Amino acid sequence: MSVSKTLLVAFFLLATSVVAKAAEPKELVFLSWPDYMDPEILEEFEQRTGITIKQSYFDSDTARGELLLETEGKGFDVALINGASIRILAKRGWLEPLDELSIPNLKHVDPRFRTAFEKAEDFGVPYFWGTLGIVYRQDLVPFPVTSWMDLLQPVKQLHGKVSMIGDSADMIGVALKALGYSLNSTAPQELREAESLLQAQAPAVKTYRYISLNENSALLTGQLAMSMMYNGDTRMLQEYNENIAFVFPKEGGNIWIDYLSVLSASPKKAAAKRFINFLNEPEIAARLAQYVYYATPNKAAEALLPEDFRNDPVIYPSEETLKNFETYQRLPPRAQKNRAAIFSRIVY
Amino acid sequence: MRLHTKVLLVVVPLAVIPLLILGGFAYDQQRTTAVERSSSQMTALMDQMTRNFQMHQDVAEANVKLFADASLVRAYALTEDEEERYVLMLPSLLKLFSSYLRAYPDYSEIRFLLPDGYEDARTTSMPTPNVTEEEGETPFFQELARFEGETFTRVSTRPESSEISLQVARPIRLIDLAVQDPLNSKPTLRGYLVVTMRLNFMAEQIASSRVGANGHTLIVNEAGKILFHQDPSKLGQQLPASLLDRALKTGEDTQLVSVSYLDSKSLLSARRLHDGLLLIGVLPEAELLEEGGRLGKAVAWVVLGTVLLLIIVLLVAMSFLMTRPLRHLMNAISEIGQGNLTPEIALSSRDELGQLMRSFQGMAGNLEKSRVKIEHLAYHDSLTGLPNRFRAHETLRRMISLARRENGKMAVLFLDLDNFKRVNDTLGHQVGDQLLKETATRLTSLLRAEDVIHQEVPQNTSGVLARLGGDEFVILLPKVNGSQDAAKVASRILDIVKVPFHFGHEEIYSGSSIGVSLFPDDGTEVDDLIKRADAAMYQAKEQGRNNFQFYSASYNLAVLEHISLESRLRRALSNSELELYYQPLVQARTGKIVGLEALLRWNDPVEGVIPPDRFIPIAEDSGLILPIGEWVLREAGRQLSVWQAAGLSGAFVSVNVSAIQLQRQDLVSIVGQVLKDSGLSPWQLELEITETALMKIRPEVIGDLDAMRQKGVTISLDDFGTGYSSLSLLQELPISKLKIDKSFVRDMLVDPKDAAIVSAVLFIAKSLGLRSTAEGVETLEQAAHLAKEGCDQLQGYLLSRPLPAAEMTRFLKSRKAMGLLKSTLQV
Repeated sequence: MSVSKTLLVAFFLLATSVVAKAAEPKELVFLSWPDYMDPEILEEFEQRTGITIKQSYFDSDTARGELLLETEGKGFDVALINGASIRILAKRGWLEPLDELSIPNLKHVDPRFRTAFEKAEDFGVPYFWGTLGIVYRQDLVPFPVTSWMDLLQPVKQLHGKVSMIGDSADMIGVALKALGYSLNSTAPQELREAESLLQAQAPAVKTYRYISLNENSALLTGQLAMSMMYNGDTRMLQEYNENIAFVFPKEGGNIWIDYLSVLSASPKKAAAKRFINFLNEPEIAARLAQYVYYATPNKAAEALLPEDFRNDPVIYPSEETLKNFETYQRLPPRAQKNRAAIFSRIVY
Repeated sequence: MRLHTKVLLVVVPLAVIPLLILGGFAYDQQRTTAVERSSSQMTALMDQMTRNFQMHQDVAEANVKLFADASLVRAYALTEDEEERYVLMLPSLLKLFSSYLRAYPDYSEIRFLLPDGYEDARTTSMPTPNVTEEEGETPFFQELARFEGETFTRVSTRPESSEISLQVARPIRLIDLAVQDPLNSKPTLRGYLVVTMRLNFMAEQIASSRVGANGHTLIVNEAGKILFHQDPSKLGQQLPASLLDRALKTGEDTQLVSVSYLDSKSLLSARRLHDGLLLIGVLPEAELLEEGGRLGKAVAWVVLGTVLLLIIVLLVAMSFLMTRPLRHLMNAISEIGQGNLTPEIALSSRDELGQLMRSFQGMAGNLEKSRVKIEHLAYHDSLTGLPNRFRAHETLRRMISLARRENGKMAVLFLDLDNFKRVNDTLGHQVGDQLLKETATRLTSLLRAEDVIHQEVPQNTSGVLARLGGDEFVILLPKVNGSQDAAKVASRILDIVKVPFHFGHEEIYSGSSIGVSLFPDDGTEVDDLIKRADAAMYQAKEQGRNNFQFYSASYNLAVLEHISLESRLRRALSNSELELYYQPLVQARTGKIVGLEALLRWNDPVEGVIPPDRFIPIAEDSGLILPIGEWVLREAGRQLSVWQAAGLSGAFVSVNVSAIQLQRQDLVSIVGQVLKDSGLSPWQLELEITETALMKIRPEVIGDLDAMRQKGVTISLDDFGTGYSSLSLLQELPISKLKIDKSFVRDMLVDPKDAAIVSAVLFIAKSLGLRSTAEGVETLEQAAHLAKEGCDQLQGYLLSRPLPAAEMTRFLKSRKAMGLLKSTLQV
């Protein structure tokens, strides 16, 4: 064998290894809510990096928890985590720590959002924030909706036409709110009242699954007339039907923040961080906000948003509106247990 | 007691007792079967329930293991951080539990308990409030904590509900691979998975478990509290301690025991389903007995029905088969008692009763026959079979009354045989009887013939023949037109009786005298008519016998009414109406008259000459033969002495002597006196005795004869050959001479048999040294033949017929006979 030939072989091997290395992070699995991502942005990411984003969906925080639990956090690369869950998932060891080194665009993000929840700063990058309210069909509900009680104690004609979000925190939370309690209440009596309220409502509830936001949505078809809904999603539905109305109940509600996290079990953490970073590019984040109709914590992106978007009372409720709104606080484990039990009793 | 009752008393128990025994057996069997069946049903039910319970328990235990092995449960158990568990995992876990509960409706609760007893997770099928989450101090958990095995199962009542339930717990022991070495470390207890299973399925089984009508099951706990019962009101009640005790004891035994349950006797079966859970089966005995009781009732009804049926059938059958025939028999017997000997007995059965009936009928028939026979004997003559005097009178009486009514005439014929007495005396009673019988036969056939002739006459007018006794017969002729009709019958009777009778070798000539009386001319009463016919009969006898006389006609001869032939004969002796005729006997060799036989003749002034065979029997009957015989001897001796004195004869005279004379008279002295009176020599007197008479006489009379022969008187055996004397007898008898009967001599020359007899007699006479005389010689050929054969003397018409004494005197004088004889002999 000649030296030249040996060199040739070495070069070939080197060349193939380079190709192989470049092809490695070809696809990322992104665990997310449905209709919470602009496909064009994903295409753009793919064009720019060659990385395909495959979405996997959940329709409640509880459901996401189950999903992760079944796989022990494996099988996903990037996940959307609500603020209250980050600490627990991180404790479980499923989340990859993130910092400005790995996600340079974090610099655009409003620090208030990064630290709104325990451990959120270490394990998540704020995605969007929002609130909880009631969406309803003005043409199907014969009165203006103002209270959670309109949903929790539906009039007879709405029986079977209301839906609830099958999330223990949200569901129990609105019940507590409706009763005038804090949604972080741990008082057994208050929780019992909330449970009773929910139990009483249960027969009228069409579903505890989060309704879809596309043109086939049950709310558009008229199967549902009223539902709990996250504020931005309403705007998506309103694109199809003008009768869709959204209200912030007078009793108040929840203010939430979703975070992007990289799962510690992911073998493509670098690509995942790159994706998160991409999403926090101001221009991208702004486009995304307009796509999903949610308020972005990315200050740079916010600056890029049009005026009417920023003045949309649904997306950016007023201080007055948010007067009675709360975020989820860390609760004693056994209180969590109680809520889980209540939730299971109602939903399962 | 009546026959019905007796038979019923025998038969009914025969049928009923086996039935009762059978019923008893069946009842007992039924009861045993019912008990066994119910017991086995109960046992099977109990076993099934026990199995079912066990199966549920097994399934629950398997499920608990399955649940405990679920990855989520294992992960949950391994997660020590409460927050992680409650926030992250609990919803999923509860969701899992919920799906289990939905899949297994029997499970009411699934819990996960921490090792310290804290209830970490709980899902219930029904929304039931949780009493406490800290279960560390409960007895159940205390026990569970001590448990070392795989699956822990207890029956208990969850504090949340009053329901009894089965709690199946599985300790979850795991190695935490995150911190422990899988090979060398011991699994650590992470908690317990507890499934609470409701026992509703048992309640359903209890509710639907029925054996018979009231047999049921129940479940009690160890304290005896009723947990499951088909009657909800019984739930929570306490089982009596004694009963519980028994149930606990029998828990392991499958046998049923008899106990008192709720104040009633019951069969009890028990199974220990689980610690503190006792399944009890109750089978009320009353119900079992009720089944037997039904059978008992049925048996009682069957027995009752059988008895009734038996009684009815027996009564009917006995009425048909026994009582009715017996009543028939009784009726027949009483009829017989009342005199009807041929009662009608309607019986066709072949059984003993029928046989009895038939033999009874036979007996009655025999009785009737005997009665008829007795009646016949009473009314009939046993010899001839003819009606007797009694019947004759009765019949006549009837006829008279009939004739009176119809103004008819009738005749009574009184018949008497003319010489019956003689036949009886000479030939014996047997012959006499035969004569009577034959006479009766002839008369009967005659009367029958008369009926045939007078067919126009109604049947009841036929003549009736009856025998009054002895030789007297009476013939009753109803419906005669006059004396002519009676005379016609009478003359026919005379004719047929006159015909000689033949009995063996005997030829008997008889005759009859008939007296006729007529109704109403001669009398209108029975006795009168018969008496008068009798009288007329005597009239006929006096008219010379063999004729008939009417009573009325004989009225003119009333004086003769009482005069019979006998009295006339008596008179004839004194009136010298008797006369001796003589017939000569000649020496066969010389033709010389050697003797004269004296023959008695009766010259009746009315009838004329009456032959000796007509009156001699009467003389013998009446004893007149004695004076007559004596007279004959004296007269014959006197006459011969007259002729001897006149020189007309040197011959002997032969006199016939009757056996009665020999028997009753001192003939020897009479003969001596005759010889003395006449002066004749003894050889000149010959006594002729018939062979039959000689055989009848007594031996001492033989001595008399012998004495006379010694004296020189010749004893001659008359009619020799007609009797049956033996040669030895002839030798012993004092006989000197045999007289050959004229019947042999008559046909001697034509009949070789007679010729042989004549030769034999002559030969015998010669052999015995006896003289011989042939009687009835009528031709010269006979005389010549007899002479040639050696016959000593001849007598007959050839020489002379019997002549009266005067004529004989002339005959002797003429000697004509002598000469005639001489010339004859010379030829």
